[in-house]
Amino acid sequence: MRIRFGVLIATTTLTAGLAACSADPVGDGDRPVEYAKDGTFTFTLPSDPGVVDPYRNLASLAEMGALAYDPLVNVTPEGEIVSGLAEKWQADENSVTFTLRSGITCSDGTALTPAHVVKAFDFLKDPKNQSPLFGLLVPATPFTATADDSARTVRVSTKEPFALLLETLGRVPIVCPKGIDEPASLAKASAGTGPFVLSEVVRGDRYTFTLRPGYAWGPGGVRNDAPGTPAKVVARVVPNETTAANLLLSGEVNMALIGGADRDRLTARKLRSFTVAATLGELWYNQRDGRPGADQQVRRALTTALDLNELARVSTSGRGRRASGLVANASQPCAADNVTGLLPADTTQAAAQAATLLDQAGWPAGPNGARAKDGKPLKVDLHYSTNDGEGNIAAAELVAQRWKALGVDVKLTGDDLNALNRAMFETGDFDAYWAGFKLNLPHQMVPFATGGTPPQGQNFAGIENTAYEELVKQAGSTAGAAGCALWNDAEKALFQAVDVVPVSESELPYFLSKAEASTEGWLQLPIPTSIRVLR
Amino acid sequence: MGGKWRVAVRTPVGACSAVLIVVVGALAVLAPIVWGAGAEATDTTAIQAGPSAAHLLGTDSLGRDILLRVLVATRLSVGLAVTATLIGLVAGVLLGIAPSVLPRRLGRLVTSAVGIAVAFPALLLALFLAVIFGVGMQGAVLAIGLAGAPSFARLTQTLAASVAGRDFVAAARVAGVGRLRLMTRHILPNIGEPLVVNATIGAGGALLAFAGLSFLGIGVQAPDYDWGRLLGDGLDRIYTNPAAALAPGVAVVVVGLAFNLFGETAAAMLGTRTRRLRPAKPAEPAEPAVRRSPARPVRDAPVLAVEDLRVAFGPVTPVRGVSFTIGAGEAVGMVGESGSGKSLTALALSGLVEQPGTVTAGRLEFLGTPLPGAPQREVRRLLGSSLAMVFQDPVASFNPTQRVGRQLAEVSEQHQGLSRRAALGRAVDRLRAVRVTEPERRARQYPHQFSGGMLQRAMIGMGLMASPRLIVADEPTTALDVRVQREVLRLLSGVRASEGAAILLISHDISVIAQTCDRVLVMYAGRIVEDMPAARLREGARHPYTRALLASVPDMDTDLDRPLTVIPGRPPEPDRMPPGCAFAPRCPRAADRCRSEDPELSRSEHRVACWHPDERSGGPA
Amino acid sequence: MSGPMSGPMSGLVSGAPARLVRAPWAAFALRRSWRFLVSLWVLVTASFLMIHLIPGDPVRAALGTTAPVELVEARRQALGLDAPLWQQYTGFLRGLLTGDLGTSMVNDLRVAQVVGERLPETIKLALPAFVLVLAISVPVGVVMAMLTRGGRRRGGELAFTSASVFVAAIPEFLLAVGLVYAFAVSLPWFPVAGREELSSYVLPVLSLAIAPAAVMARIVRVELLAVLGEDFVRTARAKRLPARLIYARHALPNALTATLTLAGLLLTSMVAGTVLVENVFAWPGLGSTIVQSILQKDYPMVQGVVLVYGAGVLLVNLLVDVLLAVLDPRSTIREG
Repeated sequence: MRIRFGVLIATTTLTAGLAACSADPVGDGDRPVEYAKDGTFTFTLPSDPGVVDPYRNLASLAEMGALAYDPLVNVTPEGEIVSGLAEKWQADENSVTFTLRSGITCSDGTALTPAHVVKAFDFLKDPKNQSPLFGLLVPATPFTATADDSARTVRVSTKEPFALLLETLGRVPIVCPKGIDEPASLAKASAGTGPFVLSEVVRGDRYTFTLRPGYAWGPGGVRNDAPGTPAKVVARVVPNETTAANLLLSGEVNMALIGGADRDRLTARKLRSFTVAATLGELWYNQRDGRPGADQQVRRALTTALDLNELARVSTSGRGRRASGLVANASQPCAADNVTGLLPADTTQAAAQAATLLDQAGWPAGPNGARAKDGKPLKVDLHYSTNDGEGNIAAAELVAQRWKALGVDVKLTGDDLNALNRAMFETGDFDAYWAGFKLNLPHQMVPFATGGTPPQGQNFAGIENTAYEELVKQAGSTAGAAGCALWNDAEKALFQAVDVVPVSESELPYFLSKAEASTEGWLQLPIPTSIRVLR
Repeated sequence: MGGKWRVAVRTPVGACSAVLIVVVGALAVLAPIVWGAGAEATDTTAIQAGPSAAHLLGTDSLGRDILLRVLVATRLSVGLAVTATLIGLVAGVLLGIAPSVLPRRLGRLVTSAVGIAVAFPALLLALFLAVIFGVGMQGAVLAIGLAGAPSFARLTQTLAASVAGRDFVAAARVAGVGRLRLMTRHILPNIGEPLVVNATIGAGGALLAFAGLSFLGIGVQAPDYDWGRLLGDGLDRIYTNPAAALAPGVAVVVVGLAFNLFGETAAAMLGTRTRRLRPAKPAEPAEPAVRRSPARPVRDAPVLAVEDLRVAFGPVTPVRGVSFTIGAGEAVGMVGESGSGKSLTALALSGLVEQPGTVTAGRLEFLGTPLPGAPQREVRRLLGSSLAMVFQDPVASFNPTQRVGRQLAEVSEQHQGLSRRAALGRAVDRLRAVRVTEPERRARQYPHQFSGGMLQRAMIGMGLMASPRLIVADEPTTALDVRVQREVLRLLSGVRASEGAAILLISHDISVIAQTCDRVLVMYAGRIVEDMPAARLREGARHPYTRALLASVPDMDTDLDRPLTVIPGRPPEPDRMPPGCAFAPRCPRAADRCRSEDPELSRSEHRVACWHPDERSGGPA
Repeated sequence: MSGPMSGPMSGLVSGAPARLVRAPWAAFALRRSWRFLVSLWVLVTASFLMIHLIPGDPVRAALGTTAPVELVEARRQALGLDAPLWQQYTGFLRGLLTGDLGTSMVNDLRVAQVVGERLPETIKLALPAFVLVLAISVPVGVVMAMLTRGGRRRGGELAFTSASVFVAAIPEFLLAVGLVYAFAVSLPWFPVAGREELSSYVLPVLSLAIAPAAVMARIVRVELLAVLGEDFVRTARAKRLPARLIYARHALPNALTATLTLAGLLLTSMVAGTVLVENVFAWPGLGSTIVQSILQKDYPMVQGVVLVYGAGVLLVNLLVDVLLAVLDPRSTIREG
């Protein structure tokens, strides 16, 4: 019921996570399906994202971009890469070549050429253009893009090896030149190649997209004329989740993301749903000088004192699961279990072990149980993000309780977005952080675990892990499955040193009412050509 | 102050809210001690459970009992609301007194800034401040506290301005007391009570504001919890476990209500809101002597005949059987101490006593028409055109939102069927008749542009819009400047002469009556005790009360070195009438009979109600 | 606090010579316009300063935790946040004069445009609610005053006071949630949200109007009772005017002057109420915009909304004062 931020959820869905596909929608699949002809599909947005400009506005991209803008390659619900604007592609550790399908046109009728794609990449890679995609889907590693219009190819190459070019640039939605040159025009109409075209905007209320005739370059080459395909797709702004749930039940809305308590009554009413995973709870220890977390043994002791299963249950209100790594997406290219055996398991001796570890680290318990070293009490300022729901707040309370029982003087500090950024990137004044970093590819972790502390870099916890640095370097220059193995080993190095403790992943359900849709494997957003409206 | 609070508690609403506040206070103190540990007990196997026997309202995200948490949260919720209110009060009072301490220009800036801030909705102000102070308890308390400051500042300014006009402040100012000292020593202590009352109401508002901030997720943060946070958490689950939202919601609303009601009740007791509802006690300055107007012979049929007129308010009867007649063109004076029932008599005979007052009379005839029996419409027309009223306070008796001319004109529009324009023309003419200068311009003005004396003449002019047979003037000069009192009395006499209207002049001042009227009616405790020709007052008054009244008037012969004679004792309260003569307790001539039997008014030319009338002639003893 | 204006100054002008008759009006207009301008300036400066007093880096807050350092730096320069404060202030003022309220940090929309689109939606909600408040509270207040004047029907008075205080104590968002629960979900009489048909206005307008209507009804009753006890009403009765005229011409206008001042405050606070109600009913108005931008730390947007909102408050106050001056000419000579 409380107002939550749109953008956080939106960035969640893009930068972050998404993921684990339970591709089969659950619900009443028994009834015979009757598709509606020329129907309208309405889904909710938690806030008005603003101009639908994929290169300047992340929120709009995450929520509506795919309707009007196609990427070079698509991902199937199972996580397999299939054709998009490019019919062929070839990648190695420092280059990728895309061959465009012929006959692709932008919504204004002009043909899409390789030069247009290069123009888009050149725009995105320049930090001066302030595209929020920079650093996310557009690698911060310098690259050059060249077009060969006669061969219909786009070739991207880097000096430094960067093995994830296909997985990043290949997924960038392509904006036609008109949209790049005249960004103002995007406020009213889209300039892309997608199956739908933005046709009407009522600011703060709704965005209406209409079906584009003659579309034939969907994922794997599908068209947009299957029975049940809506003639109109409406994105409606509904900030309050309970309201969105009520609208689903009354049939006024066909799809909505309902992560809070309302999901229970929607499930009880047997609404179809598919879920999206996102990292919810991670424990970060501040390792800068003078902080208790600078000592690995203290980090291990504090982690040992926690029952991570219980913590995961509380933080997701019993609706999520233990995190298996830093990226909460079972369909991401490198998905694997990176935590088992590396994080302390819950045993009956956990508390005693934790106490012993602290004793060994030089923080013995005093007569009243409080731990101190050289007369200095063991104080931990535990920060948490207030934006990730009631369960996650309760989890922070639980962590504090367990640590207090250990004889630690714990102070709990709740941070909103502003305070969180200040604590992490300006003051660095915290000892432990309970928050979820929502990453969707393993390389996105690098700036947070290597390099200088703010303001020189983004390594806000002051992590120094040479094993991680070495493995990351190798992984960056290794393509394919071998590269993934290295990324996973790098992650494990972080867990081994208790630099970061991934705890819980949420399973956010998209509920469907009188509609069908399937989602792609990585970003977990509905595939526009898969949307069907039922009668 | 304590006494007033006690009075407030005695009303049903005040009592209810007081009981609630006491209960809440007890909870705030005791609940954390008794249930504190229970409210913290976690059970991660029963997260967000619904109501059950073990947990009446269900559990929260850590499996803690919601009912216990609602109870324990009382301390923090109420504490925060009170703290925020105190912050607002202190900041508000400082802002409120700043203009009177700061240099003038700076002070004005503060006043105008307060003016803007007070109009800015507190919720938005709090939202905005919450961003500056950051999310959390301290931020929220500061935000809500400061958001309330402008209204306290405005209140302080208003109250201070009203107190600043009073005598003791003026005296202090004359004595050279500095502005800051004046404020802290003389003004603040005198506005403390209404401030406290409003702070009580403000605490209720603060409680609701915390709930609003929590709804937006920027109130109290974990691990602390107040009702707002519990409510916010509960609303997230309202369709799965309504009880979790209902309990803190009810707590917020009910306790907020208790604060509000208690404050309102206290406010009503202190009269900050209702003071204007009670009629102001008239000030009673002495009136100078006025030359008597020439007497006119009493003509045949009386203008007004009253028999056994009674006015009652429930069991209390302030007017207890008054009988008299007024002949055509006759000037009759009615005199008595305040509270003797003379004004009520005037209102009763002109049909202006309102509920819950009830008027009964054996006979009440105006120009031969019995008023109680006649059809309403006829009575309205008769009284509207033939009876004129002049009231005590001319400034208050004119409608401030209407032009003076219109207020006169509506009489003729209503009762003589004149058009708007014609009625206005007559109004101008009547204003001229009562010697208002530049009547055309004056008719277009509003009452606040008139002086008091001029308004009283306009009021008389209003009575002359039709052709009055009787003018009832109730203390017409009491509220006026000494200089203009004489003019108004002279005007009344003049009108009587020119229009041939009878006059019933009511005054507490026997010398005014004596010099203006043909006949005097002396009232005491709701009765006429003496009815005699005015010309014979000095030498012929027979009732001991009349004599005492006369004795209390200073005249040329009064020895100014001696203290003025006052009548000892006080008139009886209308609800505690003695069995015998009402004046007996104060009467030097009273005998046993006086204390047991009530004397009737004798039936003669000179009527007197006394067992032992003073038969001596000559001036008062 | 709510007492109608008394006229301590009423004697001041009485002796004014003829040529000054129109002067109070002119002086009033001049003084009032001046005050409006000064207030506007205070508002503009305060909103500018407040945004710049907030600790923390607004750019990083808006771009998100994961934004690279280069991006944050580029955005900061683009917004001119590196310039000295006074330069930013003059730039801000210059922008205001040309109707430019800046650009959102979060979604790149022009603030002026967003506000221009959202304001009408809020007005569409607040105005009917305000009219409803008056339509309920004035008749109810008047009838209650008539029924309970002179201490009659004490039980009725107690019931009315208790009920109205109780209703007034329920926060809008609770009322909104409750109304939706009852009349949109449990009994599907009205739409859950939206603003297509007329019926979708019912619940949001009711949530906004009920509590203020209760407050107003009490105020109207108390003020009317106070006015009915005034001497000039007795004068009107002494003129034997019909009851209809006594109420319509003499009692109500005077009760309204005090009520009006409060109604102005009420209208502005009602717009604050829309903040919460818009959220529940997915209404795309100014209230949901400000909450969203506060939570997203979209400072230019917050600043713009606060400015437009504050200017609206000042305008309403101006309007109320002018109306008051028309209704009660005494108010033109009040200090202010």
